[in-house]
Amino acid sequence: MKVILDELRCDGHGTCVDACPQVFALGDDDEIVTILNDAPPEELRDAVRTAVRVCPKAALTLSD
Amino acid sequence: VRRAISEIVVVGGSLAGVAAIEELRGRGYCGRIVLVGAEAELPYDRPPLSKQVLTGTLSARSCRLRDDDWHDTHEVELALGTWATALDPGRRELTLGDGRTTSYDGLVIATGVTARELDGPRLSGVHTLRTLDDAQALQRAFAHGSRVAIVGGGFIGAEVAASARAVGLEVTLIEALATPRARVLGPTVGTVCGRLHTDHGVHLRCGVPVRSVAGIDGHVDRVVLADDSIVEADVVVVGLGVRPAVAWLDGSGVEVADGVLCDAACRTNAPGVVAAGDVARWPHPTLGSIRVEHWQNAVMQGCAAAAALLEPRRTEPYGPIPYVWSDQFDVNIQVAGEPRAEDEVAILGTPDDYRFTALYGRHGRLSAGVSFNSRGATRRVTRLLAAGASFERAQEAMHDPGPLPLPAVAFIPDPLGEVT
Repeated sequence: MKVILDELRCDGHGTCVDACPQVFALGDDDEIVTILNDAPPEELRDAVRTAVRVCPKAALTLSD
Repeated sequence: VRRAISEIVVVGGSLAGVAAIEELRGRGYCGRIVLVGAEAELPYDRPPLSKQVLTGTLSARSCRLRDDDWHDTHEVELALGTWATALDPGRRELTLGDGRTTSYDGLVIATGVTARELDGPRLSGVHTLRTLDDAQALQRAFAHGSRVAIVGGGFIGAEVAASARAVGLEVTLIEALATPRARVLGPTVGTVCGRLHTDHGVHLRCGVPVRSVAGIDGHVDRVVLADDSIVEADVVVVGLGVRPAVAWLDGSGVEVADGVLCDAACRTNAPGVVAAGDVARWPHPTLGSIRVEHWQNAVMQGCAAAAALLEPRRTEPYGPIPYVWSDQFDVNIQVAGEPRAEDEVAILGTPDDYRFTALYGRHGRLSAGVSFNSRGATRRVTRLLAAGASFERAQEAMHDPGPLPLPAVAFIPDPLGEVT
């Protein structure tokens, strides 16, 4: 599983952080999200999928 | 006897309907899906309508929610440009605007809302903004207009004002209350919202309601306020909120009261009928009876409603933490939770340079957070809301985060379906 962030699309909503804080982070001064682990373990698959789905900018993709 | 579901009709071709369909397919439903949408367009995203579409920086095509082959890959029969006109839950039958009827085992109501209009005769130059057609018409009006009056200082009115300034128009924002946004955000944050506009050259007219719009030869040329004062304008945008699109349910027996009434799991009183998105009113586990008109809610409630349809015994209440954002000028505003005008407010940061977070407290508990240009702060507010933090504890935690409980992603339907 690989997570890809389109940094040009990301607008720093951080809804992915709510869905999966193990993989996504957003600091107070950040304009866009940081990916902490772009190859997350399988047990986080559902959470990462949720993160992809709730992104208002469609900035995240998940590939197998 | 529970009937097997093999025909699902989704009424409403926007975000909640799309999310519901993806959740249905993700959960392995492989029966028929028909998507009925009043607009002829493929499903599109609404946030850009008040911003990039108005300034001409984003094409209509770029607003589409999904790739053009989405309905093929998800095996969805499209009935776009088609109104639903009547529902017969006893016969499980939906009537469409062209007179056709279609039967269903499961139905998702996701018809959204329509913009409120001003009473009185229709004049050209007077606009509302809800659909892509509306946005394109307003963009053309901006291209030929010079003075814009915006009636209503909510998020839509504020974003339209910012877009009109961006294309060089003279803008007057008319708000009936003494302070814009005060009805929801309270006077402290409302005052900052007002100043953001005057800083960018918007004329603010607060505290006087609109009486009427008037014009000559059928084209608007002024807005008349209740004190007889006049705001001259060749383009008027009415941003006075919305009404749930439920007229087609008249006589169906589906309960409606400022939205389609649902139970905690998004089911209506009609068998096999669920509702999601702007149109749905449901008992939120901690916030009481609410209807939420936000992007995030449309996605998550679409998923929750789809889950309820496929799992008749599912009782898990749908209990998201509301989240909404607005981009105005160079400021990104984020709201988590449900602020109310009468809540206590604690300001962290500096409102003077539009970089701060306002925490809202009610009965000693954190009720909401509103942040300006402080994106990370909203995520912390969301966690604190999920943890049910006290107002006092929330202020400390914002100043000195320390370890916060991990989220509690209370708002995500569980278990999740596959995303294809």
